[in-house]
Parts: sequence; structure tokens; C-alpha cells
Amino acid sequence: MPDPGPREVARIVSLAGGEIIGRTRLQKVGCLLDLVGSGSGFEFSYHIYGPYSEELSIAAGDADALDMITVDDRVAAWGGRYSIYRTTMDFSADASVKSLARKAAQADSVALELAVTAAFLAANGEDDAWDEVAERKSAKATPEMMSKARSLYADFRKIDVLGRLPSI
Amino acid sequence: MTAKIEAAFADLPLAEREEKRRKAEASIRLKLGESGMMAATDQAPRVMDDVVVRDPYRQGQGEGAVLEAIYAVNRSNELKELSQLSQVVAALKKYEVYRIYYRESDEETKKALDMIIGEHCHA
Repeated sequence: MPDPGPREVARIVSLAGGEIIGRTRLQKVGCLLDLVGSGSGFEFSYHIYGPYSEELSIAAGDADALDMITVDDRVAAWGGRYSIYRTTMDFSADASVKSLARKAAQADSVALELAVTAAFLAANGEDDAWDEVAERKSAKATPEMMSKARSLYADFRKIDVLGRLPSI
Repeated sequence: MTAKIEAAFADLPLAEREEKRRKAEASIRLKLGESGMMAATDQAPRVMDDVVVRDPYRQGQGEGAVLEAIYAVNRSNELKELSQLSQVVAALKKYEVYRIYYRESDEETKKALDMIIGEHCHA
């Protein structure tokens, strides 16, 4: 399998409904697809915001440069910057995979980050992934947000994709 | 690689040069991936590449910079962030460098690389 590149980024954005808001969200949707066996071959490792792929980040810039996606950089009301990724390219995939990607793309960004990080840690051998997430991300993992993340994850697991997410 | 591309587009205005550089680097990366020269099977790859980020100073919001925001007192005794006091500091910005590695003795790979790079270094 050749190294994943810009086309695979366009695929992630396309499966998510053609739009993903935020770099972290793009990474988490990419990782989630990878965890259910519908990924594009990007390698993820644990980073500040949970699972992260440097390859995916570079390929996103390339996809923008090659007009496979558009990246709209914005400044949030609080002063931070964020990006909106869009594509009009269309990729075939199971409806369940598209449904999972869309749900992830529309989820609360912190809940998504916590949920995908827990799944990533579990898939990499962590026995108590939620506790580990709470410990690693103590600032974000408030009881309310952890509850949201668990609920989101339960919703992800209800979607009948070929490769099931780990039970955590 | 970045330096070579920037040199090829040196006569263009800054914004256009930046756009051409991004496109050229993306196309070269894509071509290299497709060429099979970076494949690591039972032998070491003929070519390797990476991207390094140089982020010298953080102005206002941002992350990952070598130096966080620095504040200094000016002659009017006001506390100012350094980029407000120095045009040089204000001009510092994050940039990326694309690098390609190959064995110097491997003439065949060098020739193939020169062809790929040459295709994308025309203004």
C-alpha cells in the first residue's frame, strides 16, 4: 500500500460530509476511521491533543495546495485560530462508515477528543482507558465532559461498522 | 528542497512565490510517494523525506514556538510585548522546511529526483 497522501485527506473530509471544522477534529475523525478499519493508512501516535498523525497534517496542507480540499483559516471570538476543511470530491464507502465520520465531525470537539483518545489508548493496550484519559487530560476531563464523551462513544459503538470499536 | 524551490521562484512576488512553493512541494511529495523510491520493503528506501517546522517566536496566540511571548518595559515605562517594540521580532514567523535525503553515490536516484524536482520548479 503506497503512503497515504492528499487524496486520503480529501477522503476523510468527504466521508465526514464534505466539511470538518478544526485541525484536532480532522485528526480525530481520521483516527476514528482508522480504529474501525476504514482508515487511509495514516499512522497515529499519542500527542498533546490525543492521537495525532504528522503525515495527516502534512497531507492536509498538500491537499489544499493541490486543490483537493479547501482550508479556510479563521480567528475565533476568543482570539485563537481554527481551520475549516472542505471538499467536493466524492468517495465511496459503506453508509455506516459515512455515518460514523459525520457523527464525529459534528460532535462537540472536546468530547470527541476525549472519546477518540480513550478508544486509541484501549486499542493500544490500555486496560482502563477512561481513567487514563482523565489523568492525561485533567483540565478537559471534567465530570460533565467525561460523561459527554462516554455518551458519544456509546453512540459511535451503536453504528454497525465492520471493525467494531473496543469496548471500554 | 524548500530552498531550491524558493530559489527557482525568487523573482515572483512573495505571496505568489509562497503559493508556488506549496504547490511544488505537495506535487513533489506526491510524485515521490508514487515513484516507489521511498518504499521500505526488505531494503532501505532509496529516498527519505521529512518536514521540519521552525517557529522562532510566539506572538499573541499560538503554540509550539521556541520562545513564548516576551514582555519588556519601554522608555515610557509601559509593559509591551516584544513584537510591538521591534520590527525584526514582529517579522518573525513560523515556516516549514521540506527536506529530501538520498545516497550521494546513488546516481540513478539522483537523476530520477532531479527529473521530478525539475518538473515542478518552473515559474
